[in-house]
Amino acid sequence: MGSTLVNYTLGRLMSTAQKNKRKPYMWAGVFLNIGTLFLFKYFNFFNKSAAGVLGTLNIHQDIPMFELLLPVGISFYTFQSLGYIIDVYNDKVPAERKLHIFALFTAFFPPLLSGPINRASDLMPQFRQPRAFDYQNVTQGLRLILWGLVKKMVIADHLAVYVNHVYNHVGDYQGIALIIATLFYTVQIYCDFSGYTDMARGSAQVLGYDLMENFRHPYFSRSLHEFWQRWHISLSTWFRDYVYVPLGGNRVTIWRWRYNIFITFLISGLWHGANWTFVVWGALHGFILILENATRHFQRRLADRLFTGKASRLNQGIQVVITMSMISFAWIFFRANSVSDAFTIIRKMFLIGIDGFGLKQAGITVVGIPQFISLLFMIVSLFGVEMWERRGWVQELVGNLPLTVRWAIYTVAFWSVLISGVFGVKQEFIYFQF
Amino acid sequence: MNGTLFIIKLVIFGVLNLFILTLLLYGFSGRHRDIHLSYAESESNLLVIGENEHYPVVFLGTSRGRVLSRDGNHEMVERILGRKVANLSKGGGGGLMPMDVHLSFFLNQGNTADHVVYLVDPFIFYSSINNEHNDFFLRDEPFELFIFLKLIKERYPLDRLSSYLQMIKVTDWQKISRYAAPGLTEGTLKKIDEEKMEKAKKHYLKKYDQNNFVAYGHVVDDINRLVKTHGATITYVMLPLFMPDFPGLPEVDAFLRKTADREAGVFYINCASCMQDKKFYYDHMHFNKTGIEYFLKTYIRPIL
Repeated sequence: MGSTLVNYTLGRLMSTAQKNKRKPYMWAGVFLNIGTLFLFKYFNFFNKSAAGVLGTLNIHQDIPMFELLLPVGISFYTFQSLGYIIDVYNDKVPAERKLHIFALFTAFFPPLLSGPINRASDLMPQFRQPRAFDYQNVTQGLRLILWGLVKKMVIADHLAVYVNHVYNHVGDYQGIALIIATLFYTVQIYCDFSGYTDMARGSAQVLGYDLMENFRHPYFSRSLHEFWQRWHISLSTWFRDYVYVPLGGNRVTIWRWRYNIFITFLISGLWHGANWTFVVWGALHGFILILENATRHFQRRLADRLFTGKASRLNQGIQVVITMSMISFAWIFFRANSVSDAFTIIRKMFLIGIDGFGLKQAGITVVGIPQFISLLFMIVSLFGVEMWERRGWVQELVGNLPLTVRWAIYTVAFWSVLISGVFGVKQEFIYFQF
Repeated sequence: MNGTLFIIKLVIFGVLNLFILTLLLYGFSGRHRDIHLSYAESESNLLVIGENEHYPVVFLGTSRGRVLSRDGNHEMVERILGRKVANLSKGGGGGLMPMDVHLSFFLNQGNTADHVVYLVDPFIFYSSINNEHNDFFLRDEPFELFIFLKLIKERYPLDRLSSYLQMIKVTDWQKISRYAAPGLTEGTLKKIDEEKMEKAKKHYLKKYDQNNFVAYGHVVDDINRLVKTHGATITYVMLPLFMPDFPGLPEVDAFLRKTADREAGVFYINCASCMQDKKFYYDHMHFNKTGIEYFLKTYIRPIL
């Protein structure tokens, strides 16, 4: 409520102030929003890190830690409000006059906990329009919710059992088990997060509101650059518009450009959580992206020489596999309990074969053979649906099927959630922590 | 028009799925009844305890009651008490609401009892994680329509209903059944470690509401009514605790004392400060074989 009132007031003050006198309000908004986020989410992290650095220099300074409960979804609604303040300052959106509309923009329940981070220019006009029951919106929304539930409760939560076991017992596994766990996590985080997004977008659509698309088959990307145009789109475009572009974007010297990319990803990593694992994950993405840009011409020349005619499809496939491998590798830092755990995983995951290829060594005994096979089946099915979706929007494809087939699909999906879904408090959404 | 069409379709879809649910419930309920496992093989009540049997003694409780049947102790317990015993206690799931469900099913199966002994821990009276949010009390139990309907009647949360419904998928009961490692109750607690006790206390006090120490007291009335309707008596026994300052202990003690004074056929013994010697335990909470023997001979046999 405090955040809503402050941002609303600053927006109003900017709208009434002359253009050249708005800056203090904008900066006040930036500092207050970032300050709140820092206080709740990062103060203890930086405090602990500083104490660690000082400790190595034999300086022992006790700075008290804050025992604050992290408000759920703070990173999402703070960024949404911050975007609004900057947009008002830049005259991209008018300051909202009605407090209840602005409050709804900040606290609209579907995206509140894990996004998408919506833009004021997209969402606010929708809140001003009267809404009526719309059959298409409601059915499409419900379909999205159901698909989101399947992704989260049937796929992600079952993969989590294997992933959590292996990643929480890093010392007990090596080689194939760590590789499988990392690949499973790659799928788990996608299903977990995009599942939430589908449910959020679906809930909003049932009510007649459109939230921005957040995922567009990210694991079919042929480069990291493309991946970031398809993964967590609302966050990556937010960072593009409010961090990368103000830093100068690509209209600067090449080294400055690379610096801009790196800084943007470093901040993006930190946004995900107050832990060095996320910072390293962000830095790794920044570094790979710079490397990708620097070697782009070389890659193209190599591809032209090696793959011609029909072989270009093979080239595309190889690019997808390489990109996914890089992304999976970076996820190790994102998922590991600590940076040292991440390095242990990387060191041990290439020790393939040293301790054998048995079921126990592969960690398959953790879930059992039938469950492991069903996990593989679920992953294959997921990518099958994703490929189908790439041909056209699945919503429309399913919507155009005969009623009996459509209902059969809904019934199977509904019962698979009920019979195979993981229920309980143990499997919260990964992005709830951010 | 759009709205009406949607509601009509929704109702038809709902009825269709209700029909599927009914088929599932009737089709899968009680499919385990030809499987009979022993206390050494499983901690599942439904797979171990049959139907239409008479048990002079029935135990209810948490893992602290379950140890009476773990590690080959069940035969010893029956020998000491000189009676056939049914132990419905569940490790991690012996709260009042879960025990109400298990006892209801036990009696509904035509089983009878003379004495029901509830081995009480204070936290079962105020922690939702030991009651409606408990994740363990049906984890290794086959699907039974009676239990499913009881869960609905007692307003268990949807995730409990769903996870119980998922038991219809289980085929290998021996694999899913929990059982303790052999020799578990043969060890002896070496020293009383305050740090470990605090850790245990924290574990048992998850999600508790200290403002309402007898929040689940009303379930005691349901259990008492159930027991008395079936012609048995019930004794609540507050189990020994190394932690005399355990939160809620005085409140729960007062509540049970008052209930026993008020109701015929309901008895209460407070053993919270009994058996304070570590030779009776294998860890800070659970009896070892020596402890079980002493506890039964000293406190349980005399009341039967």
